[in-house]
Order: sequence, then C-alpha cells, then structure tokens
Amino acid sequence: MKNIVTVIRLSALASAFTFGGAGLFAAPVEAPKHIYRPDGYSIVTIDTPKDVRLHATGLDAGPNGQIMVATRFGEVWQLVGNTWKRFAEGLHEPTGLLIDDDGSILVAHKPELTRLIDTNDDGIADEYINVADDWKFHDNYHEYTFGPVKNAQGDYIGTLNLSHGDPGAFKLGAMGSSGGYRGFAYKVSKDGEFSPYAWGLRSPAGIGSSPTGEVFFTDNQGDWVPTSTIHFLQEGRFYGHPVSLHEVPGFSKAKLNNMSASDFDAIREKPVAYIPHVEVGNSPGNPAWDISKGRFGPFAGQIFVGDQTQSNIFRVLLDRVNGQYQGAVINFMNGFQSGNIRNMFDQQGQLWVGQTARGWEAAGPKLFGLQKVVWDGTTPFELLSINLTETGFRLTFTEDLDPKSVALTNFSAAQWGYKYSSAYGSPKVGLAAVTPTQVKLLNDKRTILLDLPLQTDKVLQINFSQLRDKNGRSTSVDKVYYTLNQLLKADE
Amino acid sequence: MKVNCKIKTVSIPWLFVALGLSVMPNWAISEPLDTVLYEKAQNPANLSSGQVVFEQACAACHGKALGGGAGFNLKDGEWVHGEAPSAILDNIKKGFNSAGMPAFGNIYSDSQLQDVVAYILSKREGMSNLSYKVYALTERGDTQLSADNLVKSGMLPRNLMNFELPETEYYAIEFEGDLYAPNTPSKLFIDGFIPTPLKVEIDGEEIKRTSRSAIWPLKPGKQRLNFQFIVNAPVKQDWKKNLALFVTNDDLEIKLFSLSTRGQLLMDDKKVHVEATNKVKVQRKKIRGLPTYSVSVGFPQKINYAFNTRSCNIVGLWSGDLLNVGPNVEGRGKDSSLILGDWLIKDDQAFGFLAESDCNYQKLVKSDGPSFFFSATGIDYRLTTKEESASGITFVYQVLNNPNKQASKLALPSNTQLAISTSAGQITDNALVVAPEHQTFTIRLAKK
Repeated sequence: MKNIVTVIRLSALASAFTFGGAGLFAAPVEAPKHIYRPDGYSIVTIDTPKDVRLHATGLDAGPNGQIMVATRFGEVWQLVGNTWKRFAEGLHEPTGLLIDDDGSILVAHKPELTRLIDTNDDGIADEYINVADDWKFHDNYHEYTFGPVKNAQGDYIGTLNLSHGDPGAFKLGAMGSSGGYRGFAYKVSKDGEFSPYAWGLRSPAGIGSSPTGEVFFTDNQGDWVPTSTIHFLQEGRFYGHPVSLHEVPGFSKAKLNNMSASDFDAIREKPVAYIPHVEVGNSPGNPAWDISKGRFGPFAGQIFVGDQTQSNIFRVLLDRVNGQYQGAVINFMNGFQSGNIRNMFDQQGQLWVGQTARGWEAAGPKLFGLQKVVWDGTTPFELLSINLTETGFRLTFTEDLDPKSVALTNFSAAQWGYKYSSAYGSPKVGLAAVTPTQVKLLNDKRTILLDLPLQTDKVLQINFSQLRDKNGRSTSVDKVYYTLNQLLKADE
Repeated sequence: MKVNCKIKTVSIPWLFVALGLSVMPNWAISEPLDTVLYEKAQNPANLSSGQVVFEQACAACHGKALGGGAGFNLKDGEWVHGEAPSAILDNIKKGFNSAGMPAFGNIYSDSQLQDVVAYILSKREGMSNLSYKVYALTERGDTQLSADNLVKSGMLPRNLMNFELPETEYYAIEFEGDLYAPNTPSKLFIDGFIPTPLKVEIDGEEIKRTSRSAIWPLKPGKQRLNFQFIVNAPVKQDWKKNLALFVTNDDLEIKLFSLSTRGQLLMDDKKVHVEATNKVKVQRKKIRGLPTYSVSVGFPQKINYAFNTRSCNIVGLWSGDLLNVGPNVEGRGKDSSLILGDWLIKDDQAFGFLAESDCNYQKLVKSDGPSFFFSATGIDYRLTTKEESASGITFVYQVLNNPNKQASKLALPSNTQLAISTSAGQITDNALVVAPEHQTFTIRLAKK
C-alpha cells in the first residue's frame, strides 16, 4: 500500500481517491457533477402522445423523415411532422426496431423477430410476420431480444439477453441461461435462416451497424463484465460471459463448472473500449454513427452511445492498432430527461434519443420519453479524436488551440485495470497516476502529440482541463478514457 | 388515432434547473433563496398568505390538498421541473405555457409567490434528495460493506426507494435522504412481511422497531432517513425483497404515502386494462395461466382465446374482458398479466395439434379476423374465428396446402362446461379426425 501512496502523490488526482480493501485500490467513482455539452448543441424535447407509455426502446428514421418508435408497452408509433400515429400494438416488450429497405418494419420483441407490413396503406400494420423465433424465451423478464441491425452482407444481426432470477437457469454468476441461445448474438440471413452467431454476451442492450456494415455491440456491467463495454462483433467469437458456452460445442455445464476465470479470460475477446462505470456509463444502449456528413457538427462518422442510468450520451473514438479495433470513450452530453437507451441519427443530422427508466433508475426524472440533440452551427471546442502513437497519443481538437496552454503541466493521466470474474463488476485495479513526459503542438494548431508511458491491458485516462482554444474556451468534457489492448508495433 | 405533437426547445440552462438534484451542482443546492424559502415555510404568517394565493390561483389545477389534478401532485417527491425551492419559484413565475400554466410572475408580486412556495414546501411529504447504494455480497451471511463491493450508486430523482436495483443473489441496498413526515405523529411501516436484517437510522441515530412488526416511529416534519436492507440468505419469493414502505398515521390505520416503488404501485392500485371495447385486440404478454409464446385475442363480445406459436394449439379460452397487463408493464415487468374474466379452457385442456415439433408458425394477419397462419403435421392452415359471443366461439380451420393429402387430426378438450361440435369429421374420445377432402372445418365451443 505504501507504494501506491507514493505513486498517487505524483498527481493532482490524489485528493479525489480513497483506499479500498487489501490488494485492490478502489476509488469511489462519481459521474461528472456539472452539465456538459459542446457549444452549439441543445436538447429538444418531443411531446409524446397523451396517455401513452412511450418507453422508447426501438428507434429508426425513414427516408421521408418519419420516426418510428417501438415501446416497451408493446406498441409501434410513427411520428410524421408533429403528428403521432399508432402503427402496431400487442407486441411483447420490444427493444429494437429497424425500418427495412422495402419500408417494412422489423421489431425485435421477446418471443420473436417480427416484420410488420401495412398491406392496405392505411398507416396501420396488418401483417405480423414471424421472421425468426428460433431462440428460447422462458417468460423471464430479463430475456430481452435486441436488434436487429443489418451487416455488410445484408444479414439481420441481433442479441439475446441472459435471464435474471430464473430458478431453473444454469448460472456462473448473477445472470443465467435456461438454454435456447441466451447470451448469444444471432444472425438471420436474407433468406430467413436463423443461426447462432457469437456468444458470451451478458446484457447486450445496444447493437449497431457502421456505415460499412460492421457490427458493434455494448454490454452492461455486472457478472463477468467488470465495467460496461463496447465490442466489435465477429462470428464465432466468445465475448466473456461464460454461461452461454454450455450450448457451444466442446463445452458442457460440468466442464464450465470446473473452469476458472483465467481459463475464460484466455479465450475471451477484449472489448474495443471499456466504459468506466459511473464516470461515463452504467447501462449503455446502442452505438449510432453520425452519418450526417457534417450536419451534426465536427463529429462526422463517430459513434454515439446513450446511457440509460446516467441519462447521458458519450462518444466512442475508434482507433485501429495493428489491424484491430481499440479506442476511447469520452462523455458528450448529459442532463437528458430520462434513461437514454436508444439513439439514432436522422438524415437531417439530428440525434434522436429514445428513453425509459422503468425498473432501472435513471439520472433524469422522467419515466420515459423522446428527445433529440440538434446543432446550431457553432463550432464547439472539444476533443475530436485520439490515436495511439508509438510513444503516446495524438489528440486532435475541434478548434485551434492556444499554444500557451499546450504545456506539459496542463496534462495529467491515470491508468487502471479491471478484475474479470463472476463478481458483479470490478473496482479499478492498480489505479496509478501516469506522468506525461512530452507534449508537442503540430502545425495544424489543433493536434497534440502527448508522450507518456504506455502499458497494455489498462484503461488510460487523460485529463486536459487546462487546455484552451484560441478564443480562451475550455472543453466541456476534459477527460478521455483510452482502452489500451495493444501497443503499436514498430512497423505499423 | 392522431395526436397533435408540440415540440419545445429546452435551453440547457433551463434544463439544468429543471432536472433536479441528480444533475444539479452544489451551488444550486445552496442557493440563498432556498434558505429564505425554507425559513418562510416555518412561518405561520407566510403560510397563511401563501395558502390564500394558492387557493385562488393554483388549487383548480393542483388540487386544494395539493394532490394533483390537471396539474402535477405538489406534495410528493416527483418534481419533474426541479425540486429546489428557488426552482419551484422560478417555474411559478415563468409558468409552462404549453401545459396551460400561466406566468404567475405577471400576476402576483414576488413576495406573494414566495409565500406560495413556502406553503407548498410546508405540505411536502415523502422523500427528497434520495440516494442509493448497492453492495454485492459474495457469501451467505456476509455483511461487509466497503468501496470494493459497492457496485451501483446514484440519485433517485423520483424520490422512491427502488428495491429492484440489485442483481446479485446476496446484496445490501442502502437509501438515504430527507423524509418529510406529517407534523402529527406517524410511523414508518413495511407492508406484509418483516425482512431481516435491516437497519433504520433517523438523523444519524439507529431506531429500533416498536414491536415485532416492521414499524418504526417517526419524528414530525423533516428528518434524515437512512434505510439499509441486506439479503444474505436465500429468499425464494421476489416480492419479499421488493419492500412496500409506507408512512402511516400513528395507529397504522391509514397509509399516508409510500416511500418505495412497490409501495407506490400498491397505493395507486395500478391496473392497466387492455380490453376489446370496440374492436378485436391482440396481445403478446406474460400471462398467468398461459404458456410462454401465447398470443391472446379478445373480442368485443367478451370472449377471448390464446393461440400458441410454439404448439399451434389453442391454449386458453375465457369469457369477460381481455387482460390486465399492469403487473407485466410496471417496474421491470417480472409479474404476469392477468385475464379479466373466467377461464373456460386452460392448462392441460389445450386443443389442437399436440405434436409441438410439427408446428411452424408463420404470421398473424390482423385485418381479417384476426387470422393465424401456420403449418402443422405437414399441412398449411389459416385459423380464424366466427360466431363470437360471451357464451362461445367457433374456430375455423382453413386448409391452404395439403401436399400429402393427409387427414387433419386434433385433440379436443375434455370439459364438462363446454359443448364441442364440428362441421366436418368425427369426434371420438376427444379426438377429431377430418378427411383431406374438406378444405375448411370448424370447431365450435359453447357454454352448456
């Protein structure tokens, strides 16, 4: 413990940290206390239909600007202009919606992936077609079906939650599986053929497809998920929660009961980024890509994720290192009215946010709702991107920097790991300050090269609160969290 | 149904105030005006003045007893637009035009409106500034709470204790906040069950139960409440972990208000009825008495049935209204929806194609019937109904494709309440066999 104290004294962060139990160095983590939002961005609250429980857990925008919302109550609503119309009803707690290329609506609800078709053009769904129901649902409340999104091949990809409190379930922690591909990602081909796609998922409440059809998903902190994650989804991979392995060839419940956390650790995929608990998110929803080509400001092409508990939105800054995705998360906006479980960009460059707080508490006080984030054209001053270098990071900002503020003493950093186990989440392990060694402003006036010691399997937090732009502005969010799975190989 | 939608832009500084404690910075909580207003809430002269204005200007919408009406309840802990006294004053002054609340700052003086806020504060009941902490406990009997096993924490902006937040088998959950109790003697009460171990502290001092029941005496007015509940042994029933907390009057006869989400549900006696009032309704929900994968269909004629997409069978039939889905759409939705009428068929009386592996459910078409399309035992069917009445219903099986020219074979329920008849085929020992030349056949179920 003495060594840790010595390390911490190196940093101004020290005062914020307290000590945990032996062996672990636990800091009580807190969400930012202030309202953060980039200059030029504001929240617009959408009035929802009177007396309708619009817990918006499925969300998509059509080519004509219509917004389709699936609700936990089991309905699908359409918003055109300022007018709402109920399109479908009677579904079993949908948590995903996709407007397909032919205009039909795909809804993922607990027992089924259903295609809704309005055959007589009266604005109400007439046919509820069973696209897939090959998984098993056991009437457990936690057995959500998320998705679908389309990958580059045109397949539909979704995910299947584990159960909670199911007495008959196989468990290796808090969440369980009574079989039928719980904890799997699934694929439904264009021809309608269902297949299990990947496994090891816990509570993968958000799934998204990039503009090039690469699929990413988020998973919620809990057993075997030490802090929430965002993963790159690939076929046949294991993503860390071992319960679902009992349905994977080569494993059995007996075998799994005899395997250790280190056995599972050796075969699991690492996340693209860890999402530090509370500081950034507790219950991430889906990743949404800013496809607006600048109509939403300088963050074009980036990933935005809402968080149900924190009622915030954070960005994922993807990096590609040695051919593999890794990257960082950084808060974007908070102060939303309810729990942000879905977000989605429309063609006008507005970021729509579907919300629910039923059953799980949210920072925002409303039980449900729909809001959107709009940009007024003002150039914000925020971190735009972060990329690993051989000796540190390249940080690019959205505005020219005040060169005087680009001083080594104006940057601080800390790093930590997480303990992967059946325990419910993990405190920060090995938390220590990291001292930057060199900083350099590049000729573009907005990119910094920051050198500092690098260590793999750590989350590295960089604090740049003292940085100013040419107009003297500070950023609304001053910490970025980079998940350092790999160092850059010299020949990259 | 078309509903007009208004879109309002919320500027961030306003939202900042409106969202309440969870995002409110410290300086906002220590606003000097808040202190002034809290002081006025203790002053009878201010309260009397505030009551007069309240009853003139506010009572019509918010209720004379502040319990709500067209406007929000002003006594409880849910303050959508911010619960700081200064935020309440600001909102009264500016109003909410879109919600029909005028800007009272143009009508009354600042002093008068401060008295109104003082009056509202004096009527406050329930929790405020409520926070929670969830600790994961690893072993049976464990009571160790530390930063290492603190897995969730935060504010509860609706100011109701939510005991559903933990997800580990063993855990401790702790709530802390300001409790506004009546100025008359009152009690803290857990309804229905005495959970242990738990600990209650008021203003930093542990309070023991007054009897073998889960009852604790409260101080009058505002007090700091810390409530800790540990689950470190197996508890089979979920509801025993989801506590219903109330503040009652002194003799426990009247529940004055609830302090927990489950208590609030019980207070509200929430029923969410889905009824086929004017047209057929279809619902997929978890329903007590019906197997998973059941689709319920209700008719205005007060007859309802459930089709199961895994077995292609009719798994339920009941008279009366369709469903109370309330238990399935509140909280996390752990509980089952309930039928609103009387069972005619359920459980082992399901009828239809009993070989589940042969069932291939295809779609529901709502515009004509509704109709279920499926294949069973190699035959494609469309199933719909006719002659619906409170006393019976006729199921119509239309054979769409029968490539192997097979007979349709269905098992029928054995039920002394019902008369069962068919338009084609033979019923023998509760089994119906219909020859392949019949393109359509019916099964009529009617109360005897």
